[in-house]
Amino acid sequence: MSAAPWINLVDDQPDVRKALQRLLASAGHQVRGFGSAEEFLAGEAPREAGCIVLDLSMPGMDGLGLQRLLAERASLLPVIFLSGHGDLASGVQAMKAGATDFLTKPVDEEALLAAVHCALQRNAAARASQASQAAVQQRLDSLTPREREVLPLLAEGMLNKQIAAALGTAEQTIKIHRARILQKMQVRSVTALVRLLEQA
Amino acid sequence: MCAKRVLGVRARLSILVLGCVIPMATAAGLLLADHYQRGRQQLIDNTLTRAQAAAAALDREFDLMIAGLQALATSRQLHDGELAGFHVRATQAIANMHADSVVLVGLDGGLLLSTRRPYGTTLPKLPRTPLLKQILASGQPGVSALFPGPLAGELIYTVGVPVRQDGTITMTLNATAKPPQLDALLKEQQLPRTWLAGILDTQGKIAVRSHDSARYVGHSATPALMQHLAQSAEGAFESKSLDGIPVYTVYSTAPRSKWVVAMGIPLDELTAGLKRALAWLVAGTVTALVLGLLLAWQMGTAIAGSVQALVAPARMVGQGELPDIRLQPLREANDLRQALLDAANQLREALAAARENADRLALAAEAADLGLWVRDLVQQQVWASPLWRRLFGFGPEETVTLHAVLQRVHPDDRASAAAVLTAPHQRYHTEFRLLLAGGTVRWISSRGSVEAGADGQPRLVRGISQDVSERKQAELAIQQKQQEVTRLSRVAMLGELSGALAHELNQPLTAILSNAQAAQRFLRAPQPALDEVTEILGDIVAADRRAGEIIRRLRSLFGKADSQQQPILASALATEVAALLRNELINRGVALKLDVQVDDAEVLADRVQLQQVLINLLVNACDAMAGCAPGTATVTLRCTRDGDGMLGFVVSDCGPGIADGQLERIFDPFFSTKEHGMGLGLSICRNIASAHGGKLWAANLDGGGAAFHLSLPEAA
Repeated sequence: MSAAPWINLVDDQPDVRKALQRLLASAGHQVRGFGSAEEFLAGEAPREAGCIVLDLSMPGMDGLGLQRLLAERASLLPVIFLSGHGDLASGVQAMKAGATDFLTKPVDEEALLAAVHCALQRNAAARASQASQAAVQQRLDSLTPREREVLPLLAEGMLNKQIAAALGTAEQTIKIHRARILQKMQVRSVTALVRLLEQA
Repeated sequence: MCAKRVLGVRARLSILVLGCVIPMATAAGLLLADHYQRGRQQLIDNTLTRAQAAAAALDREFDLMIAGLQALATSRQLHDGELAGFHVRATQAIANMHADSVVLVGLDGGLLLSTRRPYGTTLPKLPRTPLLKQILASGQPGVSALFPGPLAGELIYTVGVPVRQDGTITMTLNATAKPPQLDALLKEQQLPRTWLAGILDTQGKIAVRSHDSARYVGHSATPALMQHLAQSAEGAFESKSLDGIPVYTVYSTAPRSKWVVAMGIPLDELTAGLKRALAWLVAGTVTALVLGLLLAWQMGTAIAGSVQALVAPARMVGQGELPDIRLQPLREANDLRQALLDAANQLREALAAARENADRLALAAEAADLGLWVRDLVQQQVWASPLWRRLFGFGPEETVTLHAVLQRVHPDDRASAAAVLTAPHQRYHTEFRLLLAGGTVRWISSRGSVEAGADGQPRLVRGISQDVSERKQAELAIQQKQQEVTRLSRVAMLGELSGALAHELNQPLTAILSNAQAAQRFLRAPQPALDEVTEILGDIVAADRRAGEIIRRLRSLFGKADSQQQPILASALATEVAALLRNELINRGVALKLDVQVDDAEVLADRVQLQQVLINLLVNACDAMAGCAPGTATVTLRCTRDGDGMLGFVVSDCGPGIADGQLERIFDPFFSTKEHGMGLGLSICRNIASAHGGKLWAANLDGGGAAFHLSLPEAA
């Protein structure tokens, strides 16, 4: 993989922020602290590897607000919520919105580090998935319009003759398209093509 | 009193009498003097006329002799030298001429013939011949002065005429007479007997005198008269007579003979009328004075007696008695007596009414448990009613002083009570506790009003004191209940805030735990970074302190401690409240704007109660903004000086404001606009504000939203 992941710590309480930053750093993580959601957004690097440890209640934009905004922006950064009190409603809402974890303060290092570990893994997987998807898309982009018409029919497992009948063309033409599609998608068989599309 | 001496009625009446009589007497005296002067002058003038008449008569007397002599001188016998016949004739003629003798004198002074001697007798020659010389010189008849007669030696006077023969004077014919011859002349004047009169010859020798003529004949007149004669032919002057009698002398010289008639009015007689009149005047004046003064004294005595007789009764009237007053001899005094009797009756009625009022008042005061007292600020004496004495623990005869009263006041209240009672205001009302013997504590309500004297200075204080212990205990009980309600309301409010407060406490706990675990990790490293650990421990201590601070604040808010007023910095109060509510505000998505414009201002207040008010107002503001769009809800806590020594805390929100007609109602107990509100918060807040001498009110803002104003007196 590329650079080490960043843990983004967003909490309005300086002493809490400092302590958590210190704890995470002692566990070997790279940590950045932000005093508010707005501060974090200003210095955002969404494509970076890492996660967010986010205080639920803050002046200005609160934790849930930031989570929502990041989702809209298709951020890949997993969010671990920290809450001062076990507010069940907020916890459910956060988890529904895709939070990795919802921890209550004071948070134990085991729980926090486990959550961070989990989040980083999730981030790594997401990033990897996103990377292969991008590669498939690149191959798809290289197909001609006629080949893109043929591709879904081919993936459904139709025979050349059936495809030619559906598209009103000659079986021979379809045979050439199939060979070019497999070549451009860098697969040897239709089965492999289907697996590639499913991955994407 | 002014010691100016005031004259009595007798003295005044005496002065009146003197003032009437003396000018009258003086005027009469002056009139009298004037009258006397006129009378005297007239008498003198009359006397002078008489003297002139007498002088004229004297001349006539001599003229008679001259005429006789001139007739004789023309007789033939004389011319013929027939002296014997002439002697006879002359002797016959003597009687007609009022003469004693007729004498013929030769030019040499020799006596040629005298009827005193028979014809032919040798006659002596005259030693001195003044008349002869006069006649020879003037050729006119003449009258001699007195001289001793050559024959008899008696004093005589002579009237002589020249005898001419052929136009030449050859001899003189003289008639001699003795002075008594002239007595008749004086008698003719019919002068008053006491008057002096005299006839003087040309030499001023006395010829005849009305009194003692024989003794003084031939004597010179008084030197004063001689002197006047030398100066004028007639006149008047005052002198003494030869007998030594003071007289007023009037004289006149006969024109031809140059003999003099003098008249002396005895001064006694001249002034007798005056003296008599004066005597009458004096007698009249004295009589008038004596009578007048007697009457004045009697009248004055009557008036003074009447007035003085009413003095003692008037005093008795003043003391409320009904005196027995005698009828007075004066009508006016009787009017006064009647007035006094009327006044006495009215006063007695008034006194009876006043006593009745006093009795009623005393009864009412007794019934109402009111102690009455009066304090004389000048004499520093205190009168107090029996009930007051019982209230304050004074015996019936014990002397009441301000000091003794203050000694009974509870030590905690003594200073404030002394301040009010020592220099009382126009009207005052104060309450204090008494600490009586045996430890009894009694609450007293004391009201008083100051009465000023004529000079505007406070003179006395009147007042009532009342035992208000029961009321005070009830008040204290109510106050305690109020405090309990206030505290419970605070507890309820804190319950609502408990989540936020727990979160607030969680912050330092989080920091502590995370720091501690980080330190553990550092220490597990092969070569621990002890610097880092030291720093971490410092942060742990700080966070722990922060947690302790939060707990302390909470404990004070939950605490049951009595209301304690102390000076509090307004800015510190605002900051503390903001800290307490930090999380609640975050949870509610409300931004708090602190606007403290006074750094040094202090209020004397109960910190916890003021925090309660501000928390209440801020939480209300948050509730009011529950419907606001996220990120727009802002509450402002402003702290300013309002002027007039007041500090203002203003909590303003940007919610919908307060409905019309509810700006005041929201402070009513059990009135609430919230779904789950008890409706006690603002009512209690207002009570707290009042208890601090301040006010709490609400107003809508122009741009929307509501503002709550808490106004408190700034600590001096």
